[in-house]
Amino acid sequence: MSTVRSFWNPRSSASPYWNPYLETMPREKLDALHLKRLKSLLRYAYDNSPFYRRRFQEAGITPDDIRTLEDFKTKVPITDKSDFIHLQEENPPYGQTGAMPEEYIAHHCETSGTTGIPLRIPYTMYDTERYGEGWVYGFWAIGIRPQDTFYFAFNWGLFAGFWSGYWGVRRLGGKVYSGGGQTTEGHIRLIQRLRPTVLLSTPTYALYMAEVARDMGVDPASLSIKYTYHAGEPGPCALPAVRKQLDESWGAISCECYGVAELNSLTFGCPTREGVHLDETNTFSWSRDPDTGEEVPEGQIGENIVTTYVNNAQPLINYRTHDLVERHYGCVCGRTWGFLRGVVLGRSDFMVTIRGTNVYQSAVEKILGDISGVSTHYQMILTREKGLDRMLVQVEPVKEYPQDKVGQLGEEIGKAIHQTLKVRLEVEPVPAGSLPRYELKTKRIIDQRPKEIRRALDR
Amino acid sequence: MDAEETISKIDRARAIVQEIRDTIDSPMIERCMQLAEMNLHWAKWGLGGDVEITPELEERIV
Repeated sequence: MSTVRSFWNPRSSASPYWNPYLETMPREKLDALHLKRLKSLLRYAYDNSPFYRRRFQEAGITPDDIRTLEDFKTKVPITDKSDFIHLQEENPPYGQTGAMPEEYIAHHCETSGTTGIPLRIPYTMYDTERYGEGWVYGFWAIGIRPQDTFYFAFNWGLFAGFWSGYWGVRRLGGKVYSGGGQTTEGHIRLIQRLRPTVLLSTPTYALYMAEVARDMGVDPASLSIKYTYHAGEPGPCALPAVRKQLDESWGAISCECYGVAELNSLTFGCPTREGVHLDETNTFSWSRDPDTGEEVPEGQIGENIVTTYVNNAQPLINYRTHDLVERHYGCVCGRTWGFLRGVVLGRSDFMVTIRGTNVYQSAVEKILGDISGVSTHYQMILTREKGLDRMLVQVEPVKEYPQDKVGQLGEEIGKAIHQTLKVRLEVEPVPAGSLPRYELKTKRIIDQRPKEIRRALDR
Repeated sequence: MDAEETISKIDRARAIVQEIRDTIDSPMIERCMQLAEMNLHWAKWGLGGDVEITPELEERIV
């Protein structure tokens, strides 16, 4: 007998949920499970990470003091990316933030460094498996199955984004086509030849690919793609207009994962595509008023504060995402896991995502401050052309700056931005005194993109 | 099979895997058992089982 066994048993493959036990677990039972897991995580972090031991000591707590979820939210210190970056810089690569011996580290990623310095993210082998699994919940929910074939329009650098998607496809058992190193035309030709059924990319890049395909005389809707799956920017579960454009362009069903590189692939698109579900196997999260620090109730907008069970190499506990969300419980799809209507509605800091890269106003401001001859007056104008986001940075040289050298100054700023932030922004020096004056540190980003593709709170 | 029964079977499988890990003199087989244990821990986690955050923190199942 040499017949290969079937990949799945029929009972599993008929399940509408990837993990019916947890995805539909009654809320009360799920909260009790979270508490148990949070206690284990706190003990682990306290015993193994010098950073957390110190933070807990400073807060006057030990893991044994956390007996309820309320205790967890109110007593365990809030953490932020800057805490970790600072300690990693002092003592690279991971400072005192790590909790696992180096021999356990199997993969290293970094954030895009758009706040100035990238955050280093170590993963154990187990972390990568669990991180990837977050994607699988979403694949399964929307109808993607192991027999599907996945084309990654992604360059395989240090950024976690679609690496975790790759871990997810492996976890699901699907076939991977790596599109690394291709031009956009090259992606289209490979899709024509390989006939994948799922396209993974940022949403804007998928729209750009569709436009390039049309320029090549190829109707993208006639290609083999049945699903497009996205991350990195507001996508089809956040913005109905983007959903419509993606679905129509590719003749496919679009969906998305909202994740945070250092945390996890946090969420996956609900089959209703009106928001995303939190992956409560991997994370515990709650919403907080970014100004008062108080928890906000269900249905109100607050900052998403996340604890991940997935990143054991570098635990992240009560971590600020700066993403503003509207959280609900109970969903027509039957999942008991939290639901974020409209995904991320805005930011509690000044950040926008350009072609998948987070660009912080503060990072641009810092670069400008390091270049002589540039005044403190600038603004950043965000537009969309040919399906892609573009950002123009308008700067004022100081009054005495020689007029014949203003062009060179613009080039110098553009290079500095690209070198530091790894994203190309256009720079336009404008006459001194021509930009609006701001008395306080305020938003300098002017979003001129069509209203329907902006986050809800940015319209 | 309900979750409780599945967890009990997973525990039995883990005990066997751990025994092999502790006694084997082949790096190749030990690595296979490490990954098997990781997946069994994850399966138990996925069923809401009573496990620590990572298998390295747990006592051996006997």
